[in-house]
Amino acid sequence: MIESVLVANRGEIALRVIRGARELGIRTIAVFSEADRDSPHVLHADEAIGIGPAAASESYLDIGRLLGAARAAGAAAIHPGYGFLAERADFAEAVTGAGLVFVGPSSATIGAMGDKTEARRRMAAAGVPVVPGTTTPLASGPAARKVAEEVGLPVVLKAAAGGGGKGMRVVRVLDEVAGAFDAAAREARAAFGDGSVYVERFLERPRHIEVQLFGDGHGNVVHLHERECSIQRRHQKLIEEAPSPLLGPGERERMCEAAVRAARAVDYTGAGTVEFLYEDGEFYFLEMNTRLQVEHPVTEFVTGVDLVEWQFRVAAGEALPMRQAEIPLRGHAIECRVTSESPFDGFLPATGMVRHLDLPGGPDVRWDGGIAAGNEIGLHYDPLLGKLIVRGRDRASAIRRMKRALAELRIVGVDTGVPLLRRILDEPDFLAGRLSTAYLTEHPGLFDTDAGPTARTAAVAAAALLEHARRDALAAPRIRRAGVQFSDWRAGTAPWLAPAPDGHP
Amino acid sequence: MTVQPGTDPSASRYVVSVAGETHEVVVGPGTDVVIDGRRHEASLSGPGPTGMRTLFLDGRPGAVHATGLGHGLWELDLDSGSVTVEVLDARTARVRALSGGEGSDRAAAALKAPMPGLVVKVAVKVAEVVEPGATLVIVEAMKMENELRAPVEARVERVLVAPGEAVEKGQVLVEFGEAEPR
Repeated sequence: MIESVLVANRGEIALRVIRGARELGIRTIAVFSEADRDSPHVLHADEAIGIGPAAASESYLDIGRLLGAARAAGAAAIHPGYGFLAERADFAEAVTGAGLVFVGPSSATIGAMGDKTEARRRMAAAGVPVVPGTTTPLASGPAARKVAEEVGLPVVLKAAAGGGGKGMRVVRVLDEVAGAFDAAAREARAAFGDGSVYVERFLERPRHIEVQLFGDGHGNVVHLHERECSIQRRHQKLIEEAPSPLLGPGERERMCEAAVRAARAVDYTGAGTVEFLYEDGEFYFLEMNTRLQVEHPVTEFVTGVDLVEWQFRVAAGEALPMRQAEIPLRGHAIECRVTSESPFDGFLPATGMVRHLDLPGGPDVRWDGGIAAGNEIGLHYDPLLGKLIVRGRDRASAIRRMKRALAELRIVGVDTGVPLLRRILDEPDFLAGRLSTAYLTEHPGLFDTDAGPTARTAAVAAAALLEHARRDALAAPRIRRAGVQFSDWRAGTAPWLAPAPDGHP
Repeated sequence: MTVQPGTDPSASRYVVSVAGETHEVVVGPGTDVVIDGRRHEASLSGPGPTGMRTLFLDGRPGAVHATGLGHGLWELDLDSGSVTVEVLDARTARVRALSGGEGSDRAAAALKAPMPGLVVKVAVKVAEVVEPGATLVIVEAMKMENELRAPVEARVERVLVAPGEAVEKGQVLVEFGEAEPR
């Protein structure tokens, strides 16, 4: 097994990888920017190395600093997590060039799949269905307009180097194609350092279904079934589940087989995911992600496989520990992503200090988080604070469990999407499995700012009681002054016992 | 017998505003809280070391975190989400109603940054008349471009930012005048 690993990431995924490594007896080295000094991923590693200022470009995206930290700590391997440098071929190459093990596929595979147009070409060649559109990046806005005319509106412009909705624009009017092309190219250049953009036909109400894959470099490629990730907003997944609630057994088999074919076509090694769009019984290759996915825990829950453990085993040169027929699919798992965004305010990024954190517990509930009480949530990084994952014997029981767990989850001090998640878990179409990537736009009622009469009564009562108590305390100065001498000592040890000086607790 | 401060009956009548609606509230005696004529039993414990309190409302417990902002404004974190509530005593509320309240039209006459970020593009010029929904400014936050659009038809009076400039939440980016002469 690998002796030590530097985890070139932050937040919940850094902690997830550190946990997996520690269970295998691998020495863990965390890296952190100045903004993350107090983050849990730092605290739970065997060693932690500061790699620079808060700006990701000068810390988590700085290959030189990461390799320097790995050298200083004597790391034998680097795990990239997801995001940041995870799908940068030059990073994988630099890591192996420095004589370290890169926990992931080869730089050639990352390069081929990271270039979305190249990936589309390869998949089409391997007989995997792809969405109609271009297979080469476009030179200009007018060129994009010409293609849009050919494949028909609406179209989606995508960054060739992209992912996560960055550098992506849906266009429904021909005259707006050129402008959207410029915006997408600009955003892609800022996010990925590469402004290449291509065009695809946009499917209006597809479902997003993806297949988890694993290859070991010894000729074995297996799938670990599918995940349904149709609940998205602005192409960012919000709720994922496994298995897909409506895919029939025959469809599941066809899709998983196509995904394995895709992985074999690029001689895939390590953990990967093939994403498909599914509409009216047809599925199309969307992209292949050459890394661990955010939503990997739902697969872990229904298969019992520790995907991070498999990543380390494959990186150490071992063969996969299971054959295809041995990989189970048991029960149903759901994940809710908890982000620092204001769902009822256009998903604006929210900031603030985590003043209080209550995490859910109980049977078959998992919290993969990267925050602790006292942490300051800023704007430097992705807004994902953590993921809540549950398992049940079927979808209905998993939903009941998720509702219960979401009721227990309490993050105070920074707005999160939790109130919206709770509403979705009560919404009839979601409960019936009627899902599509247009789900949120088709259910505007979920965003009603009125939280309901009970919540309103609670807010009114609480505020009235608080203001009443504050006025009471202000109006009784003599009583307070008389009590100062013996209440002072209490103020030092247990501040909540002392009256607040200006009446504001 | 003198009236105890804080138990003055008039001081326990409040007008509470939340999400654009106002409610008449009477606090006390005891754990009685009457909201719009309906009697509830309500009490608030804490705060604990992290500021958490428990609201007991008609026997149901719920978690509350409160931050006093002064002037009767309370920012509450409840299980249903966070909300800002204004609590005025009945007398102050009456005075405000008579004086016509505070100006609220000015807010619509400017585009403010909804989040801290970096100005990527300014798509309008001074004196330009913009259609509702027209992109005015693009602000990048968390590596995502956010297109800030015109809420109504308006004439651009002033542009206060330029590309490359960092802006704070609430900072005025563009000021409008009327599209048509008054």
